[in-house]
Amino acid sequence: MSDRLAGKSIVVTGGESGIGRAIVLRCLDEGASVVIAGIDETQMAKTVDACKAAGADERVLGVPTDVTQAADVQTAIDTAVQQFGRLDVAIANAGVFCEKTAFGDWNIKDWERMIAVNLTGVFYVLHAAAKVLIEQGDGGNLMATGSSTAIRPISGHMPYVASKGGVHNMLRGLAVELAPHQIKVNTIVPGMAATTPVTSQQGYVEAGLKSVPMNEIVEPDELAAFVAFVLSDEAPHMTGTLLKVDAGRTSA
Amino acid sequence: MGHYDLSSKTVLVTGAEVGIGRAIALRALADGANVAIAGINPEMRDETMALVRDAGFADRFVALSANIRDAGQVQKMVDDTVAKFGHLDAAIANAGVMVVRRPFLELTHEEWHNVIAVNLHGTFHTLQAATRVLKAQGLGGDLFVTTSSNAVRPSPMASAYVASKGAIQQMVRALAVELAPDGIRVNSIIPGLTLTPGTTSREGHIERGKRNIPMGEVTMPEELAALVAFALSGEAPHMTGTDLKIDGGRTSA
Repeated sequence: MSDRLAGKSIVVTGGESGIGRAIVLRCLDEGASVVIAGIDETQMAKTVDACKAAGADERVLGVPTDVTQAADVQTAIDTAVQQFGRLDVAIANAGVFCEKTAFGDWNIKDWERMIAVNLTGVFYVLHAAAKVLIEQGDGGNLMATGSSTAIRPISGHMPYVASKGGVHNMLRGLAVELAPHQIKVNTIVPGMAATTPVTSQQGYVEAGLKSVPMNEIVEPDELAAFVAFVLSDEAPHMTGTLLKVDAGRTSA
Repeated sequence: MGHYDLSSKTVLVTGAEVGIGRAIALRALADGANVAIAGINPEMRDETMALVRDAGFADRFVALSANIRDAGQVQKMVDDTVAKFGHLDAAIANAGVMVVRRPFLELTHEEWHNVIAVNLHGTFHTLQAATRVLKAQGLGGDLFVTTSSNAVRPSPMASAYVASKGAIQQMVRALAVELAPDGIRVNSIIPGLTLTPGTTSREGHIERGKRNIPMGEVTMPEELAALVAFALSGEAPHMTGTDLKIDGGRTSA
């Protein structure tokens, strides 16, 4: 693997599993230093071990982080700056999915929880990271994981769909606002990706694939490869772009 | 040398004697692909051939002459590519024309038909001829179309151009769905204001355009070429119907 990302300091929330984990492994593989900010400490320890086994050595560490707590997020960002000397990239990837529930059956607490993690949590990450990037004064990259359902919603998951719609438009707005600082802001858009929250729901994949033209599930590694391209500086004017790998789901 | 392994792939690029197409061709060559370019400008084609020769890629390269308005010439272009390299993996329908800025009521029917003939019919000819080969081979493949940030956020005084690019942008989306069962991916390349002879030769075009770009800078053809190389690399085999957009934030504002 190349060393395109050598010297870059990256924070990935939700980096202990799924798409976040794939991004962490790929970035480390290309030479970056990574803080995994995760809420599942057992899984995070396993992922850190896997990274070290793959040769990451001192370039990876885990920081227990609940993205609904701004102080936790601040600690994760501060840790990257302290350990690696600066911050180049923050990827607000942590998010939760939900069981299929009719709109009328949602309770307010579940709605509030979804928005707290998936939308306000992304705001905390980008807000804390943008402050550092602007202060450093030499640009950087912000990303968040959105969803193909922000473009083409699915029934029975309204709080999730709403939270991801918020993420998409927040990042579009930030791409414009932060452009004068040379901070690029792009959204990762997975179609139906092979992660536990998706594959663990009975019948969800089978039903979902009916609306996917390629009729296949997307692998987290594919999204990680796209992220690595964007971070490589090969396309310094790429901002406000949807990094979409969805097997055609949102085209149909 | 680039970063992605495109060796053993054969890539056809139209409008590749200059600008974004030339950058895509050079990058694909640098990453190991066989490349056929097609165009209508012999001087620029010779210049591109010289660049390819100097870079040491001449043995994996062929320059063809084809006007994409003509379906027969397009078919020959595809046939010649397959004859030269034995197969086809990707076609990049990049050739297109820009137009002089013109208020809608001053747009002549002749200008309208000219833009549609190249940008829309020409793209159709290219994609159809390439799809025939890809389907016959039965191994999937990649199609790309160079559209424009104007397909997302139109500029005034360019209605024919904007309409043509909007049409091919939507054609990409339709083909992504239709050709998915064949393993053929279809993605659009969306340049913002990009530094090419086509844009720099137009009085005031860059200065005027930059005002609408949040980053305040133009896109370089090499950026789009790098993104296409990534898409061709097979590292994201389920990427289809995606807008490969590098526009300095133009369409976000």
